Amino acid sequence: MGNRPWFEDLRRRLIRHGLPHGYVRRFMEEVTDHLEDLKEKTMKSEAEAYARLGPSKQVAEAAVVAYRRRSFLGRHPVAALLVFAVSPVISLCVLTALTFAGLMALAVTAQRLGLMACHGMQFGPTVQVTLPYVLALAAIVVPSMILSLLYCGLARRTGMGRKWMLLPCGVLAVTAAAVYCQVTFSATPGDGTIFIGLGAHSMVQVAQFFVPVAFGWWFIRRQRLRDQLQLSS
Amino acid sequence: MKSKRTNPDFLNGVPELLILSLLSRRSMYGYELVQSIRQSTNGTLEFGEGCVYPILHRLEADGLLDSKRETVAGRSRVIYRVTAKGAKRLASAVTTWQQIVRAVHHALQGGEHGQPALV
Repeated sequence: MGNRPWFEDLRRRLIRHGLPHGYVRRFMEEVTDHLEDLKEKTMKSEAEAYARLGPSKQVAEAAVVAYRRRSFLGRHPVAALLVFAVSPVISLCVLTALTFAGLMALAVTAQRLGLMACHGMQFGPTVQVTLPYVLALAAIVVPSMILSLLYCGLARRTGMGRKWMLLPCGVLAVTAAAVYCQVTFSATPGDGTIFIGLGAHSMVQVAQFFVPVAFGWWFIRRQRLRDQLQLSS
Repeated sequence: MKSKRTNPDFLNGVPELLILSLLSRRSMYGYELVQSIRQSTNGTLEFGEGCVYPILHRLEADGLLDSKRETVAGRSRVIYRVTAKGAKRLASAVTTWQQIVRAVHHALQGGEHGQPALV
């Protein structure tokens, strides 16, 4: 690579647009081969050979557009918007509901096996205080964390760029923050309630907001570090 | 660096058609393909040669092309060839292209009052 700036600029642009490192490596190899052929077979000067390759910005843009068009989401922006802005709300609701259902099934099974108390008042005060938080953690925070990572990974794999990583994390953060969980214990078996609703109810919801944002930020930062490592290698 | 002039208004879908057509005749690597495009079009199509690789990679991802690394004249090359799916796509693209050419030709000949050529 005689003209380092041209290649460095091309590589930097490809990596900054979030294209996978393996793809960038292969792309650079093929373009390097092409340049060598241009110089060898046409006896062109280096400047002329680079001119025939085209401006690095144009080549990088063509590569990014072509890479995004590989995926359905890259070809259809409306579908991408539905997937990254709408489906996180549905996914979180479904996953939260499933987690709650799983936890309830587990509790009922434990009760039937005599492994757990029949009514909530038999729990100690510590359990009574922490149970709503544990439920919120298990059914809202953990699912939103998992989903934010999944959506970031999807945006990465489809070469959609960082904005498309942040979007689902933001949507998940707002959705998770809007959900609250309330547990009422009763001495009478069957009278205790677990309530899941929408609205501002407790400080836990602040944490529920920040978890997806934090994980999205962590994912992007990790990706940036990897990109920087790739650039410096 | 002097930037390469391109004619993008006429290139929409054309490079894909040319690439499939030329690779259906024989397998080639990127540089060979670009020279082949240049020769077969008498240099009419002007484009940054580096821009051929994104198209090749996309066609490969779509399953229209297949690639493998081979050693040619002592150098390792990525050789592209058209797949069966690519051959089908080429046949369909050629038909569409011919219809468009006929329709445009018809329009340029002042055929706005005649029968539509593209049906």
